[in-house]
Amino acid sequence: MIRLAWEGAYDVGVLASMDSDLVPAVEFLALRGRKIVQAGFPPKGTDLATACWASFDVFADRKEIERAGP
Amino acid sequence: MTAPAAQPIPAVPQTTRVRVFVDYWNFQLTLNEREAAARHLADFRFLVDWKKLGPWLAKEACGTVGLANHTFDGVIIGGGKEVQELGADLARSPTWRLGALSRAQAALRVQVPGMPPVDHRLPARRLREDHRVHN
Repeated sequence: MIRLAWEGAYDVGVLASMDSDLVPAVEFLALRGRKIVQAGFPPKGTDLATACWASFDVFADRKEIERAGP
Repeated sequence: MTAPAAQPIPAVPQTTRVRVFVDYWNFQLTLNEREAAARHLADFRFLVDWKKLGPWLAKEACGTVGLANHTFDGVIIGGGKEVQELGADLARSPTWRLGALSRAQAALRVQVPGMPPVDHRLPARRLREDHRVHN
């Protein structure tokens, strides 16, 4: 995520995670003008959501990404 | 002789390039946990359509922040060995092989800690070159 931002490969990053370990990376990118949006499952991952530019709830529309079973 | 009147340059619509980064285990396990709770089950495996996921997340994110124009520039799924196998499965799918790739499908990369990233679009020779660069 940082490498691609450094290369100027994106304007907005979408981060599908709830892991607060990623907060420093998001803050680092925010300081350099990269916008990261968290795709999460609130209230889980609040720390990361707070560090991100914005966040949205994946679970509400999860049927859009569900694959039919075998 | 007078210079011809300058023609207005049509405005180029500004697009926002969006990349998606998926923390595979964190995402999959949380989804399983929430779905199990919603169904009042002890456990549930939510089957994610990984081809749809990236473009869908990009669209939802842009909708959330009110970005009208965006291009989906790829998804990187980070995780362990299982994620590498997922990438290989996608690479073997008929749509993938026929080259009828949408922009959405064209840029899935899989990253495994301690290993160079694997782009399942690329032929073996290019992959070797990529590895050299990353190593």
